[in-house]
Amino acid sequence: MPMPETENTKNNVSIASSVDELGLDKDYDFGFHDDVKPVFSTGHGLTEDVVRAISKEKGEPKWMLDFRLKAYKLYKKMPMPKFGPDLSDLDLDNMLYYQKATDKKYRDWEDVPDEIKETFDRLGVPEAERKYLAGSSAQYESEVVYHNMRDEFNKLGIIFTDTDTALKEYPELFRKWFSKLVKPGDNKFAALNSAVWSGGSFIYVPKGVKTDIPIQSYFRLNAENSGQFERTLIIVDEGASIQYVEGCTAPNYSSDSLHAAVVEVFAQKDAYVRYTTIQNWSNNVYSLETKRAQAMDDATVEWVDGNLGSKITMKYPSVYLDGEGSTGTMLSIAVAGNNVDQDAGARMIHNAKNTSSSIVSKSISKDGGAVDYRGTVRFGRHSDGSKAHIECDTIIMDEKSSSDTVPYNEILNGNVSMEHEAKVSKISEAQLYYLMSRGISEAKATEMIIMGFVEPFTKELPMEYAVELNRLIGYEMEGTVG
Amino acid sequence: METTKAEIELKPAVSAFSAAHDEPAWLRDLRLKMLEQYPKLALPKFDKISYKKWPLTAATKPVVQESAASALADLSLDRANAKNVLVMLGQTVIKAKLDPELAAKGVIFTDIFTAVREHPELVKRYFMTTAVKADANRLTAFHAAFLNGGAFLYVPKNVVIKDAIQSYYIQDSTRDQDFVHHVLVVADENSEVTYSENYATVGDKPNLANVIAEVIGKANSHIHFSAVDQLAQNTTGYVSRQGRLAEDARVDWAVGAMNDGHAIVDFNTDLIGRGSHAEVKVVAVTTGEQLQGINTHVTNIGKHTIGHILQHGVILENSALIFNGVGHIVKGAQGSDAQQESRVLMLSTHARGDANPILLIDENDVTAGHAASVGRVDESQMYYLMSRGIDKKMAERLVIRGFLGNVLTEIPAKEVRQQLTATIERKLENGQKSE
Repeated sequence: MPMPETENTKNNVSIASSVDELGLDKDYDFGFHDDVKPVFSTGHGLTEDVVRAISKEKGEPKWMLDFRLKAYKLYKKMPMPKFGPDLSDLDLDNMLYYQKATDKKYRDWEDVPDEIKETFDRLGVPEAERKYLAGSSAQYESEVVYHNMRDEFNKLGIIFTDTDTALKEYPELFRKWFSKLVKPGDNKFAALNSAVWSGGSFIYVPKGVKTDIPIQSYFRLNAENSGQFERTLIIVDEGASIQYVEGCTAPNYSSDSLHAAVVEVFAQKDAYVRYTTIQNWSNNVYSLETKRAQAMDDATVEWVDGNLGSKITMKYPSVYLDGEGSTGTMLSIAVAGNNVDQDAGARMIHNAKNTSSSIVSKSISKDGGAVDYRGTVRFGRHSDGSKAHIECDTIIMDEKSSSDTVPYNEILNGNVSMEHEAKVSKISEAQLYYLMSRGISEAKATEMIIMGFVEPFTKELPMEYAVELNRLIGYEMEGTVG
Repeated sequence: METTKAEIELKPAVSAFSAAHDEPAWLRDLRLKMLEQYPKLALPKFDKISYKKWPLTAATKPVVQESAASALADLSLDRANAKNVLVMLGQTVIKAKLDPELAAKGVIFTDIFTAVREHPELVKRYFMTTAVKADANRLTAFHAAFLNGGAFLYVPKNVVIKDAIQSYYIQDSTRDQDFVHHVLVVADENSEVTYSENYATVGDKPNLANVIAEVIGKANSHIHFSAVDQLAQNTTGYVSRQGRLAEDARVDWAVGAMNDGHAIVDFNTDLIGRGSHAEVKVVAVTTGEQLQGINTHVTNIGKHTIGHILQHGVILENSALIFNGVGHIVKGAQGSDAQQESRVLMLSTHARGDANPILLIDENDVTAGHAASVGRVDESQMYYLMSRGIDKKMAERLVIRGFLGNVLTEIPAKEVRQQLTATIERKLENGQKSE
């Protein structure tokens, strides 16, 4: 009997096959470019010409242009996701796809909204960093740190560069791994990213190389820094180990309304990789990301994922446990305030023997925000002896806020075990009472309880992030009581 | 659309069927309206359950047909000797008994067509108007159009019924005939009743079954509703049970989904009145090549309402069992509680089991939680039993019986309980043979 499948998977497969028939890989004449209108007149919306122009501007090889064009065709055909938040306000035809990719001018500091500036003040973010975060400067004081770090990595043979440069400088390595986990047909926004991707990090860690210094995209310098359509590719070879930290706790102000990143992480045999993200988008941003990792024999992939801010987030990082004895974990927090819909979760796909996974999700909604956990744990036919543990806890701070917990657990093997638990509640009155009876104000007590609630997450962060995140959550919690 | 053609062809037959039962105009009109509408309505959607290709709306021409009681010889119905009992085979009432004392108090328990004739206003008021609307989806509309059997139970205000009301609804698949069966239970204010129903099939023709039970609990009523579903392998079934509760009403559902063929089992309870309470307990065993998709939904609407879902399932051979549990607390349902637990035992490496515990919470002054697990038979329990000389298969069945026990104990009538135990035993033994 055929197993149930979702409408989306069906559609995507059929669309992907119909696009293959278009024969885009054949007989493409590069000279076509001569007819392209001037770069800056492409205006709003995405057309095939815009895709060609992006590729030309970057001086890409033909296979990448073909890949982009094929992805573009898919993107045009694919439906919007049929689950989760309402994306009907997202006007994809009114985006500036090309301009973002080439615009090297930076925003005037005066244009940055006051509330963002105020938050910087409250968090004590240094001046230069503020400008960087607000998109008004591409320079960041840690240039020296970055260079020192890069020397260190060079000695070890680690490649750490932006993804555009990687395509030029390491073409074979790049092509071997690029889009092997996230095909353009995976979902509409992966297709969009594949068509117009720009920027992102490329990391290769050679066999047996281990480093304790986390690689931080924070310190990265590259011309097309804060692209809407980042493409990150991380390859950790056999027995190697790396930690990657991306993002920052201060609000990342962007005038762009859509961020659709694709991240692919490959952990080869015995490799270890931890990918830490903290995102705090400003409240006009749709963050629709596809993050996926593959773990081979005895490899470990850990996602540490913090989501604050944004207008709508849809993000479900996954680990394909394809090697025997591999491990995948997800530790996440999500905070949704006024007008925010955080739809986040994780996917753990057990495809090999004796694999294990763990998901711990902590969510908070307040001031009318919606925070949803959406995840899948799947045990495939060959997952004998595998285990999964899922824990989702949610606090709804007030009567205006809401939370959905939507976990799917699909088991196709009799020799596995899975445990799933979830709780949704308001702030514990007993705990509040206890703290307040000791003379602590309600506001402070609430903050303390929330800090305790997210502590399993913050304790996994590098120190400077943990400190900043704690400050940020404290700031977010102000005014939620009384 | 092919179904539209079917509508034109079937219209005279549906009218004739309605006339043969001497139905009032409202029911005939409802049938004809739904006959026209059902092909245009959408199938109900259940997460992760794909059943579009199942023959659930390919109607067989409705005709009034008598079924011979002799077809029931195989099913030992001597257990049906309780004080209050209804036995139906196909469209035919084989046995109908109601304690005269209860009848004197105004209790009604009869087949649905008799009820429509004798208590038209009462049936009209509740039939597919309150717990589920006829035009809710393609399957409910189909149901209204082709209704060909069922029962009505009415418990008047302040009446407490001690003895269980028992029913046996047997699908007649010795011939080509849809089994479209409706059970309407109305418990008036401050009443209490224990109702149990059993579905089974005789014959092996491939027929569809479309079963809907509506349970309406008025203020402060208490309904114990137990069901054992054993539709046959060649039956494709849609089994829906819909509850709607007023203030301080309570329903305890205990259901054994033991069908042998493909089945969608759809439970929905709306906790409308303040303080209303639903306990839903479901056990399921799947075997062979079948898929059972069990969708259990409780919506907390009134303040201080309680909705608890407990689902235990065992999966054997190449079968698939999908448990969706949805606890939904809507805005304004302060002080409510939604809890659920789904546990699945996998006894086969070729099977598929899903446990999807979903919480939709729009209110903050509430408690909600869920737990789900999937795993194998507990090895220490197996070891304990086998060390006492019990063979492996027997030990496995004993452990499973314990695992399913919490629903079994909820079933009030001893005979039904025994029968369900026997069914589980049969399904497990069959399933074990192929392992």
